[in-house]
Amino acid sequence: MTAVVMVVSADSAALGHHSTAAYDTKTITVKGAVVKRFVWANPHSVIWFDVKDGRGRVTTWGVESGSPSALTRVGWTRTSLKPGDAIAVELFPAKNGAKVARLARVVLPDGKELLDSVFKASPFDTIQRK
Amino acid sequence: MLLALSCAACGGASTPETSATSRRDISGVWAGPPLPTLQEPAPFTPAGQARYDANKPTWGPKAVGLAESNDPLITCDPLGFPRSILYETRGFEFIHTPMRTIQLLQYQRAWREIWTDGRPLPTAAGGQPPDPRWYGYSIGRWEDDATFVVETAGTDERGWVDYFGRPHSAAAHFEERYRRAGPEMLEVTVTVTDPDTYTRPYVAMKQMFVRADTQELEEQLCVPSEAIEYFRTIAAPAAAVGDRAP
Repeated sequence: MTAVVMVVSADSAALGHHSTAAYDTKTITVKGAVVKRFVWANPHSVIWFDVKDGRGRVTTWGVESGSPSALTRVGWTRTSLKPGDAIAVELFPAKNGAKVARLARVVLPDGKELLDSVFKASPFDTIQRK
Repeated sequence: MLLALSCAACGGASTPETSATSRRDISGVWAGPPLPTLQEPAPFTPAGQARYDANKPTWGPKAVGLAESNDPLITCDPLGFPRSILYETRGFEFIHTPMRTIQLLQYQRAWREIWTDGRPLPTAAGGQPPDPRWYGYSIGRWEDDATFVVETAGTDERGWVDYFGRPHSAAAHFEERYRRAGPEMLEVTVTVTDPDTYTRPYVAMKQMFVRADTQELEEQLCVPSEAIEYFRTIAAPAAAVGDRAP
């Protein structure tokens, strides 16, 4: 997890559209999240999920990630997340305490991980390294 | 890479896909970074400073949150030129035709027509700049076998020069130099000349682009309805003044 934080700190410019100043630079991980809705959209896809605390109170989070083209490049599809899926989400929460965040990664029920597009090299970076 | 090797083996025959070493040819899809490295601008004139002060970018020394920004991009306005070559440069393509070279821009699936038939840049009556357009008016010429030079004028000043919110006037003149720096490398240099805004011309960017493996542009759009929803549900709450100190 530490490694992921370091990557985003060094390469946040790769997000492209706008800065991420509204978000913390360290992640938190939310376990026991249940997908409400996965919005596959431009300029940013959004994962909406619910999570219950110890008293059964439900909190809804909205977590932004890359565009469909950027996410497709790193292995996502528009059906990667479906309502009802139980997931863990590592995210950069908003500094102001609002329940919105930038995605770091999702862990699916089968243990498979999907990283946000910012954590994987763009075609430009890949070609440059050849 | 495979394409270039196959061309080397084919004894000089060239197709659009294997034209990496061709003379006077920058056709094909080129890939760059989302945010190219920009160079420091020249000092502003008073009018330029006033325009810059009015812009509220989300990047750089005067960055504000997305909710307070007036970056035209937020509402999916056109990037316009020159921002289209200084921002979101993950992909563009050149197509040469006898009278013009077309630049296809991946971001927003826009294009520019660069006339190569010898016409001058247009002017309005009295030598004034032409009616402004988001992508301006462009003409191009080969300076040598490896360097295609594009001049652009008549750009709409609602567009920004770059993602730091630097402005330009409608009277600005821009030069792009596309130089084949190697079989799979294209060096792009952009110079801004805008006496209304900057005290002298300056080089805004010198960036290397690479030949894209797939030679396919992606669909990279800003969709207004989806952007509005994103702004309302994510960006605005994230930027709101909260009750917790950062």
